[in-house]
Amino acid sequence: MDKKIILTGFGAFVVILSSLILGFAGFNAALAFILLFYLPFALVISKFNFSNEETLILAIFFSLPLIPTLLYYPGLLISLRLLAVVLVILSIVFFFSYKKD
Amino acid sequence: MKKIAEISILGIIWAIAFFMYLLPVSELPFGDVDASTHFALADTMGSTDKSLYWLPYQINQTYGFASNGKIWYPPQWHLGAASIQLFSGERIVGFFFFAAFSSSLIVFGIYLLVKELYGSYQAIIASLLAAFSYRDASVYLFSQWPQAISFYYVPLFLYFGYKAILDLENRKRYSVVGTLILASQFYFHPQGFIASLLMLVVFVLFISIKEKKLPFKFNELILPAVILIPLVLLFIAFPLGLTEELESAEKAPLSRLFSWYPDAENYKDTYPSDYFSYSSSHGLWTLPLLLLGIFYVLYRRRNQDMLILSMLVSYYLLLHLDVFGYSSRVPRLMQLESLIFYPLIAIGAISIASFFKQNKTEIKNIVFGVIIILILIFNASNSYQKLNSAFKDTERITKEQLEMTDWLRNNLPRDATISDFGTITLAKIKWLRQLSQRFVIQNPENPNYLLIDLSDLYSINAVQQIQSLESQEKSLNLTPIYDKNNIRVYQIG
Repeated sequence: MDKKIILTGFGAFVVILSSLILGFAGFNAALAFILLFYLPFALVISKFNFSNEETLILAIFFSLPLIPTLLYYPGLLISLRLLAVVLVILSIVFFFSYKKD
Repeated sequence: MKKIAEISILGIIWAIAFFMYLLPVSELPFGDVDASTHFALADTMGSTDKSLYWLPYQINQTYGFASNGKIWYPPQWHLGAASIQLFSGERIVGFFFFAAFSSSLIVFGIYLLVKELYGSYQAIIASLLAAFSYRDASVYLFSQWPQAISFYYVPLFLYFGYKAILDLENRKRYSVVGTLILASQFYFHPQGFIASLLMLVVFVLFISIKEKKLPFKFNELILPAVILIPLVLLFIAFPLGLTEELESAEKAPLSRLFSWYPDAENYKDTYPSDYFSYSSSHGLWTLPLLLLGIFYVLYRRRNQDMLILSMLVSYYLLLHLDVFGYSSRVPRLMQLESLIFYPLIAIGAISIASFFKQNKTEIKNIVFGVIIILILIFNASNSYQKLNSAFKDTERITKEQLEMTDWLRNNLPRDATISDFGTITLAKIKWLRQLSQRFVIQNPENPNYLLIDLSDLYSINAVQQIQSLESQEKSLNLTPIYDKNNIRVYQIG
């Protein structure tokens, strides 16, 4: 099964579930999670040779601690919002420029 | 087709766990005493759009002495929650979404590890038990979120550790991933990091004894060390900056080594007694399966059994740290139990089929079905009830109180000291403090504002207390600067 379908499916699942339970606020929170945390690591990890389950789980488990790790020290001086946007752009650049492992 | 089904089942089990943890979430915050502190750390970063190094004023007044005014855990969990607040624009729901999501991760690591070691049936049973774990639901409501997620990385770390040791072809790749997971655990809470390392060391010891040699060369440890040490050093200053004495407890007697849980009486002020009960935490019906699972892995002693055994042995050691005087850590470490017991229960359940000579597949299917039904009947209902009934009505901050904290935040100076009268619990007073980002407290030394909060007392119809506070309020002879929904604020200095 294509990794892209699994990764996209999970992202959509998080947004739908959160919206159903928490309404518009849940939709906002889930979308923020998907764009800021899940998407960058899903793009990066999908380039490596892991099984479908490993890819999904690593995208989630790496994003939660490592996005804040990358943001923390620069964030003492620079806007966290700006840094996060740069991070997402970098992950997209990586996805399109890095050849599969 | 099988792969689609398996990943869909994993998605469904995760969705169940996420749904359970979202049950208490609403526009109004909840959680015991520590909850508001976690919220404040995230909220400060979320509202300033900057990372946090020094504690915010209102926390520094009460906790600052313990860490010379600095935050004392690595900031990743709080910064993660702050990022959701920042990008979603949802101050309360954004924070609790992150808490619920990070707590729901309990199912993933267990599923991946157990599926790799034993198969899909065992993985589904173990992760479904985890989704309905009563003890983990309790910890979620106690608001020990950063510690919980650090523990939930343990099975994932062991999965990659196990593969790094036994899959020679991909050793380097798995050891790098495992190392990053270990660093991640340190970033959330050092306890998960210690538990993971201990379990892997015990596993290496077991395998070395079995094989009569180390399962790797020492120089293969260089790469993980080169990755791990700088990653840990980057944030080591936070936990090392803690100046407060962590332990002052007496050592438990050696006879404690022969009991599983510590005496609930020793923790009656901080933990409910059902936290120390197997029956309440996991359901008594699972106990024979747990014992069967332990017997099964002890009897077989294959590599995967050795890993599960090393988790059990390590957990036993951590659970008995009170013998060495570290009694306050023990209830927190008990959160590891689900990660070890649920795989063992699943192994025990499916092993029943191996006692039969014929129709093993049919028997396995029947056992699997029966166990799923039992989980749904017993574990799911208990856990659902606990999470769904948590922090109702005045047990959590009300809309009126939330509105008042917004006013305090927007209208009073950052260093205001506000003396609270009438708010019914210590946890709620702390919530008022952190939501308003102002120092709200009972009986401070030099308050410059008085907060008369009769809203809770009216809700519970505490007539005498209302009359007493109202008569004291009249004697002040002052005009309130905030007066809404039975909550009034006076400037006195």
